[in-house]
Amino acid sequence: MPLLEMRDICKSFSGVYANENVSFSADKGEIHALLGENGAGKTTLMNILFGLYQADSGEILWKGKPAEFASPREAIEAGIGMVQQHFSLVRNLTVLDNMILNYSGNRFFLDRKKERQKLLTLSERYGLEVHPDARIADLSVGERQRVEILKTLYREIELLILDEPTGVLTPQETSQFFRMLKDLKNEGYAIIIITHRMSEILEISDRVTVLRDGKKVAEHLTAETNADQLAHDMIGRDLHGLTYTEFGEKEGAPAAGESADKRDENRQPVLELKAITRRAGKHTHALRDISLCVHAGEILGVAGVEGNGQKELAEVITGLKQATSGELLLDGKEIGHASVRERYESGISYISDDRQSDSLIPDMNISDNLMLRDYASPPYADGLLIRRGAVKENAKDKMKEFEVRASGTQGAETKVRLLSGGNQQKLIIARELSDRSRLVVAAQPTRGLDIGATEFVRERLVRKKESGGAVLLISADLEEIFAISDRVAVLYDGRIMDILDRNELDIRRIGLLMGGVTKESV
Amino acid sequence: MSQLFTLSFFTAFLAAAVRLAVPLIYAGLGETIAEKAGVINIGMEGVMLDGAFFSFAGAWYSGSLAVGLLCGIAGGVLMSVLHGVICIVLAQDQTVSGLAINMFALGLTSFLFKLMSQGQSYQQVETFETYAIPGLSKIPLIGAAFFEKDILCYLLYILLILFTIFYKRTDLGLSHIAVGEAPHAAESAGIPVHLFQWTALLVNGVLGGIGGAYLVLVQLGVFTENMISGRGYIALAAVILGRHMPLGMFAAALLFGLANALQIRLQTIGVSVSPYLLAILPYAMTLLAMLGAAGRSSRPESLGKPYVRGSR
Ligand SMILES: Nc1ncnc2c1ncn2[C@@H]1O[C@H](COP(=O)(O)OP(=O)(O)OP(=O)(O)O)[C@@H](O)[C@H]1O
Ligand SMILES: [Mg+2]
Repeated sequence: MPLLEMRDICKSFSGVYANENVSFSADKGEIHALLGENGAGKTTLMNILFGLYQADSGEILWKGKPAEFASPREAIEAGIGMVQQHFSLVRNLTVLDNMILNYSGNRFFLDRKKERQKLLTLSERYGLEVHPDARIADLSVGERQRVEILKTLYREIELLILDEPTGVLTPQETSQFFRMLKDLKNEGYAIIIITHRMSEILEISDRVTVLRDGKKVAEHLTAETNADQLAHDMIGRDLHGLTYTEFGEKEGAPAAGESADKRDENRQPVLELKAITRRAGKHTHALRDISLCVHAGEILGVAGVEGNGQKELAEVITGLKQATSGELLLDGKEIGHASVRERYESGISYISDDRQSDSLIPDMNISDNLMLRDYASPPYADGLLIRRGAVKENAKDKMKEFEVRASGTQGAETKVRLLSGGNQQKLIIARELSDRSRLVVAAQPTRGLDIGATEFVRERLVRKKESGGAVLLISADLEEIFAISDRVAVLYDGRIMDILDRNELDIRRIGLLMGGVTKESV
Repeated sequence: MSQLFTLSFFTAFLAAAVRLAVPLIYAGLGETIAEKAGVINIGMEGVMLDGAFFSFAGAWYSGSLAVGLLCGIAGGVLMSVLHGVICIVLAQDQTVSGLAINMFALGLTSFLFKLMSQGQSYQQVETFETYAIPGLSKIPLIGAAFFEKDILCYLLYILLILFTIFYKRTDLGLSHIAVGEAPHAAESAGIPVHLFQWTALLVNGVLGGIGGAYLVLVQLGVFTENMISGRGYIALAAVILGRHMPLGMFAAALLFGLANALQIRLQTIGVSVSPYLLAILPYAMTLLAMLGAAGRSSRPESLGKPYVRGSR
């Protein structure tokens, strides 16, 4: 008897199925992976299990007995924990308070001292470092992810649902995380994991279920399947010219740049940072004396563990934050004091890693979100009025080009909040990768995208550089950095440790630099 | 002018300020609790007015203060339940609902009062007695102002302390904060969001009702039409100024009490400033204080946004 069985689950939103007769099960001591393209219905299925949504039909058996979780509370009480795709943390509370929020081990009076100790022990045991007193709002997405995972482990559960938990973890963190998952599995937990990374699925899972367009299309034992078959199941056809790049492997990746020696030395700098420094705020990380240059036709990768100044770097460049000192040049012109809008108009676009708060207005619809940056200029603006026709037209084109899928019947009028995570990400990319941009600051641009979409975005970034633009690619995902960067800068504690050329790339060395070990000692 | 600065003047002045502030603090505490859980009740004025009227009616017909108080509480709860049905069950706009409640309460109480009095004016009902707390009430300056009060005022002190501890130290308090900040996150943590909003609103009605009843049963002994005259709104301001914490709100409400007491004093002394101008003082102070507090928002992040379960 499996721990959990879901039978013939159906769920539709405004008449369109997100799940159609899906059956799914999970067992103690097993890691079950759930795979599918963006919008396939993975999150929906898990939300039903966790009591966030109610299924239209179908039944859930928990430990063999019919169960219906009307709310997360009931699911938690039954022993189910979930790390959601879009975090469910209270931004204005501290990490510790989020941990102990409605924790069943609490007495009427909170014992923060004791819980703090417990948190620190837990965090050490699983190698997920967090600061108990930091406010969630001030944390990077990666740090929040750690908090989410810890929060779930904090509770007494038997089944752990992880909806894209590794999206923003570094490779080191991910492998540590996987070791932890294996431990949990051996301790008898049942684990359901959603991830788009084929390598992760093959490495960690015992079983794989594949969803396509809301339907279950396959279930395999991991040992008896391979990446090609899974990709085929997921997409419904063979991958054409699509190869997912594994670490260090180069073929199949979009054309990488030539090495520095061959590159035209006179290539024009697009973005230059000279000794950019920013004091650490109470809740923000410092930038220390950062000098770097991104040339036309170049992708500069910025590697580093989350929370070492990546966010601040991106925000200083895009104008959301000001540097304390230093110079910032775009095409040779000082822009350090220009507004976000002015910078955008002179060609800086920004794909933020925190899509819901920095890049989208979730309660507005797709077409409006797509013109957020340009609403005041033609073709959208006509004097003081907005030309709805042009807005719609643009939305239609972009949705087609970037394969943004909105379920339901409203098309471009769908509120962004209702889109699946990957589709929200595609929307941002569709908006920010316009022809006019000279420099794209891309932070974790493929987070949450399925393999097809990931490849597509990387290709677009490469195309941007080939057409003479510049890309600053900030990512904790080394595979991504290696796949398309021409040069790689390593950020540690707000400092650039080193900038390596593509042909000097070496995973071990970068790993050390990311850990703060200096050039000399390497 | 020299009489402005005697000790007895200050004592009386402070006593007046506290006296004026107590109903505000009751309402403000109720509002703090509702807002912490994400529901804004602009209808505090109506809640208080209802509390005032029903406490008067209850005390009048029964001849008992306790019955009067209970009726006042019921009157306040009636209004906040109405607000809850509109905002929580039907997920409608909280501001509009609050405004509607204010007008409804004004109409309702005026109408019922007319029915009850049939034109003639009422005599007073009996009011709560004051008890001086031995020792404490002898402290110079503040003793008489704070510790020579009635039982409802002492209850208020206790509530302020309890609710401060509630939010800072207890499991339930933390959950209440989470509901107002991020209902989706709260729900995912297993907190029944709507249930918590309901309890917060009920407490809001109880305290707002007592706030209104306090005017009748402690201070005036009579009901008059629209007798709250803006206190509900000032309580809202005190909540914001007090940064959504019970003690902060207490301090802010006291400040309004002081301003009000000051303008009354100045008028009685006969300062050569137009009494109309003086009457503006507390309100002008409210505005100034809000300006001072600008930019440091303590507003719960999801305040005023209806929470619909199962939505994304
Ligand atoms: N509350 C909702 N209201 C309306 N539509 C919804 C809602 N939740 C999900 N959907 C729709 O259901 C479909 C499946 O979404 P779901 O989030 O389950 O996809 P997913 O497989 O998790 O995708 P991704 O990999 O991008 O996260 C999407 O088209 C989405 O727009
Ligand atoms: Mg999803």
